Amino acid sequence: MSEALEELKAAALKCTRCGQCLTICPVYGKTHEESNSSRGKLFLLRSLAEGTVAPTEEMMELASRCTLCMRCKAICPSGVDTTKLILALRRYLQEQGRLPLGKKIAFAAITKGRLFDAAMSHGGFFQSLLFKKSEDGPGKVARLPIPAAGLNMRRVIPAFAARPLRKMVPAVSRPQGTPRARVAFFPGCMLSYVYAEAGKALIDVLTANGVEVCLPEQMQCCGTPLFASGDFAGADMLAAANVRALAGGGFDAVITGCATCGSALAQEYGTVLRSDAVRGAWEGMKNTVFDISDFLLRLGPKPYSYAVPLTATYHDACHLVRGMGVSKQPRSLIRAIPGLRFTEMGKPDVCCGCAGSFSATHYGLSRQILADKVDDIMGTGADIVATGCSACKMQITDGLAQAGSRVRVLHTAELLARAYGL
Amino acid sequence: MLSKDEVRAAVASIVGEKNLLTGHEDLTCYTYNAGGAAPSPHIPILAVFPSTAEEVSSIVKLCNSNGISIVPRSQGSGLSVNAIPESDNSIILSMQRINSIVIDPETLTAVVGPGAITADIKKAAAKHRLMYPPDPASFTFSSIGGNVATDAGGLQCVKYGTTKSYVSGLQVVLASGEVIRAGGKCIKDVTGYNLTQLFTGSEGTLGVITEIILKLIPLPQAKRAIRVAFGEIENAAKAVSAIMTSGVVPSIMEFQEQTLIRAVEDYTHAGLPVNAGAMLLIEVDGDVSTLKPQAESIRRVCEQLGMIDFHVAETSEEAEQLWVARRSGLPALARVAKGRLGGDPAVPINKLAQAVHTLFEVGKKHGIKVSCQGHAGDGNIHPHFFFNSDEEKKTAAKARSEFHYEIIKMGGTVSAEHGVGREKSPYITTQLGEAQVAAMLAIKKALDPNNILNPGCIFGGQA
Repeated sequence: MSEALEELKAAALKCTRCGQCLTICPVYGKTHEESNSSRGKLFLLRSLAEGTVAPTEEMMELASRCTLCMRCKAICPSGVDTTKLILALRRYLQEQGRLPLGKKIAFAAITKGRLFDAAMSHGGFFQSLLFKKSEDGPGKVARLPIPAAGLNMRRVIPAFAARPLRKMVPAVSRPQGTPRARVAFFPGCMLSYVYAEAGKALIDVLTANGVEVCLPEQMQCCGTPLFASGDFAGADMLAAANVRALAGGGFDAVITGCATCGSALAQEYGTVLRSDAVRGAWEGMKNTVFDISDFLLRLGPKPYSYAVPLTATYHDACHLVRGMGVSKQPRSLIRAIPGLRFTEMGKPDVCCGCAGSFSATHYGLSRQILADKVDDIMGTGADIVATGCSACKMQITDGLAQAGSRVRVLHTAELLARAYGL
Repeated sequence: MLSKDEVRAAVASIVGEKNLLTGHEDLTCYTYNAGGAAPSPHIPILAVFPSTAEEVSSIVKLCNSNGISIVPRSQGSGLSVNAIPESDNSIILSMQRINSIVIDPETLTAVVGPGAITADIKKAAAKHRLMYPPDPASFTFSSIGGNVATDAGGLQCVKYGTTKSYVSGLQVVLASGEVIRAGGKCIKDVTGYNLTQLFTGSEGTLGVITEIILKLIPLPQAKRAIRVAFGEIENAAKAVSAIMTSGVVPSIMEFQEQTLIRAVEDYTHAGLPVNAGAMLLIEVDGDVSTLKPQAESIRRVCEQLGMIDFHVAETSEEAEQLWVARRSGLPALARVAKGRLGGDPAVPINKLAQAVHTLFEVGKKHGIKVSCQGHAGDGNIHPHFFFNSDEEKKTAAKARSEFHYEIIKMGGTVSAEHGVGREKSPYITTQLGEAQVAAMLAIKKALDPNNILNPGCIFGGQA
């Protein structure tokens, strides 16, 4: 047995199999299959170490049935870091050659920074070949069914931005007068290439609050899609590039607008980074990583200038509420908007089922989880649902569009930008 | 004998391919339940998820005529190794997808599927201002089928009784595959033997429960939480019977001793009385006007027994704070040692002090750390035997065994609310006597002549 596996087994054995993680698991809640629960995955990890199961493709499939929503970690009475162990299980299986071919190709592309940038910047062009605009306009639907990617004819996926974020804003966005702070903004892939308008709104909100915002060169994908699938070596390359791009700039803070990027930068890199030197630089930087809402509240937001006479609700992205401990901050900023009525949904912190590529590889399951979220949102009677995660935005937009709902999904920063008249 | 593939094909023809699991990895996850007991070395042939009693009936018939063991199961949250395969020639019969909940406010009943989660039943009842009182600690994730099969208890049993007090009727698939209805919605019903109560607590050994009719009661108007601390553990234990005979019936009366109080305080920093030998967490409920007098009665009783702290939660936030201490028991205990063995014995309430004293004596004798908490109001204690090594685990098991025999001597029971499962079958003959076990085995034989229903559970190898 490998040493790594032995260590994982020891950690997994802390699980007393009490069952608290069962019904709160979005995946198990739909399938009722024991192997899909955290308890089941930890038992499989232990069985792998004991040699009673093998690192098969079926194992990778079971290990991939997790949205990494961290609710099991939050509730575990024995303090088992379930999410970390599930990632470690995927890592082990990936090292045993169990990464699906599609992901291998995609990850090879993501780690080639310049090529990836070129492809994503022109994503809009390539996308139009395969997708057409959905009828009521929130995104695109497939021209042809591509079942393997979960891209059936109904699924609404966002349109690539016509222009990437870097083409919309300068490398340094300066506020009027003396800056109150100088920050780096880490937009990640989605706010760069897909929801670039939301990325711009976030920068505008910061500059309106007297903050100088830099977009350092050489920033890459945060690496989550890779390590979430077990490819830690690929993620390490990206993480190291990002730390080099962000740590040396003397910034007061690194701002993220995507829950997943934020928790990767602030926490997951601790597991991902291999080089001691880079890790050292990261140690000095990690406590300066803030979600936009958290940063604004710490800074003291300037008063809003416009009323937004709408009803809004808020969806907690898993990686914000449990990953970065951010849930009160966006609510506090949204509630303060003049004219806005805020209403909570029943279960705001339950996963929407996106989980990055999970929504493509497990589209049916992802849709079932999403259906509860859509019902919850529609039950509030809100006009707008705000969230701090682009993946959630993409997923919820899809669900609402398919349910025929008119509720709009906005990044928290986009809602704030309206109140600042930006 | 059918081959594995033949069994799989036959079951698939009943429920459809989509409703069964046959992969080795999937099935490996059905070799354990809650708790740290060693998993079963036997991998079942399949796990099947029927949707109707008719499907269950067909599956049971198939197994009965081919000598295949059936392990009925839902959430696998049982704490006594209640539902694991005893042989490779077994199937897991998951009741999770038979999970409907229909509240019938006119008859104060709920008709539910065994796979329904108990918390969801409570929520559904509360919408009609009704209450389903049993609240095992697992109620947010355990199924009502499992609760009925083990006659699960919980905190509020002290006033409201255990699960069995609320089971009014059952639909059961017998080992023959025949479907019967025992009991119903009538409050009074003495036609024939009380099979409803026979199947309740039978741990899946006599039949497969496919529908449950539950009694509901009006939701109490209000409740209030109280925390009382005592310097001496014995006084806290004495206070329990004193309160119960004072005319007040608390809806909850939980007991925690010092090791646990300190572990919880270390974990939560909730401001618990760490110098107390033991404390009681009490809840009274009912009409708003009755709460204060109930709390006052309890205070008077506790004062006479030398309490050192008495705290009544004035707001719901304060009450929540008090209950954090109870709920944090498990995470706090996880920090005390690498592992622990638990249990669920009970004694008549006037023997509670003696039982706690005995627990510490047994711990001392074997040189291991022990602690306990419990649903003191009904004499049910949860002992903890801690260990940090495999060697110490063996000692802990020995100590627990000895404690179980002491409990029986006191007129107690080795299982109050988790069921016998496989963990406590070695004690049943001592507690029940040979004649009674033989009577039980005769019932088992009559209802399940081929011993296909959860074999090994309750009776060990005797069935």
